[in-house]
Amino acid sequence: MTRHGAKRRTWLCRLAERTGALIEDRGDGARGLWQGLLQRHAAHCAYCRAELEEAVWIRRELQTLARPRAPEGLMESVVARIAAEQAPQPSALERAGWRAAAAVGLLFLALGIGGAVAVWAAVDSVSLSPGELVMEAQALADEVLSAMYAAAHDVGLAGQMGLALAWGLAGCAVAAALRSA
Amino acid sequence: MGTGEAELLQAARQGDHEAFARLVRPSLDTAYRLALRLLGDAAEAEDAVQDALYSAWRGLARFRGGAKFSTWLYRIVWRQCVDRLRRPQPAALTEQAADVSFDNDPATRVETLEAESRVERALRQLPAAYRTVLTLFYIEDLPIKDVARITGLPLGTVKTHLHRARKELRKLLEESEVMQP
Repeated sequence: MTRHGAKRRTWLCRLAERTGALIEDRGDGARGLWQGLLQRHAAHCAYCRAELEEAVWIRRELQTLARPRAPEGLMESVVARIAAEQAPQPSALERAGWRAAAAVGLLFLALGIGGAVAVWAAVDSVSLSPGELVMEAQALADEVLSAMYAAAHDVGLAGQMGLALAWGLAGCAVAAALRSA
Repeated sequence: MGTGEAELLQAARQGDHEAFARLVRPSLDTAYRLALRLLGDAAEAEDAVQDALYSAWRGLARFRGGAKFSTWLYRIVWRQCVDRLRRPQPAALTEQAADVSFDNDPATRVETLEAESRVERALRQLPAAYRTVLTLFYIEDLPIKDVARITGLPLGTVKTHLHRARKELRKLLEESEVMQP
């Protein structure tokens, strides 16, 4: 293969080599003003022409490769993943299931019993008339149960059910304590 | 960015995952092929694209619209693939990349498969950086500026990579021709 004059590369050859992609650029604006100059140079420079031919040959070889499409359902699976992320997440209590709900119920029951015991102690240490005793006990029970309700406010349906159970049991305990007093 | 694309982007940012799917779908095949050429395994490529699309969804707010949406998406896919390539490889790259569907008649199919295997094998022997630029520039016909944006490389480096990648690929293809019976 004869080169432009000899095998020696000119500065244009080096430029063409360095910007090899530009020679066969597809008008994407990256080649700039040099393209015309390089094309004219390549027309009579064997070295650059060979470079250009190689680029064309490589492109042709690579274009023989198959162009597989994305698998069916790929986009749908991504959308499903996104949708799952966006759906409301179950609370920690709901995820934990009934065991956690039962534990919460027992906790509230314990609090209820504690409240009843507190009422019993208060009744035992203060000498009040039966009517006053009932009033004091109800006030104390209200306070205890209000605090329990505030604590249980965000625990969801299972928590609410536990709270109702605790309310009932605590009420029974208070009533039983008052009755025995 | 076109008006339609801008509207879809706006809707996707507001949580409309169907809009996101419509935004992504035109770029999905190219994204998948990029992953396939880089990773050499269909299942791995599918996983990579899925993860990349999920990342894109979560990072929609970071897309400022300076480049095309598809370019931004390809960059995420490319980074996902590079991350995966850095992980220890569980098995050698498989030959499955040639396992694609053809629409041609059987004779053409055999010829194409032979050419594919040869070019595919040669391509797989190249470093990932070279595979990337060859895939994006020659196979996917992306402008060189987009190749630079996707890979995060300066334009000059992309051109150098292309030049060297062509030389390497040509050498490998010529070697494979010599070795053929």
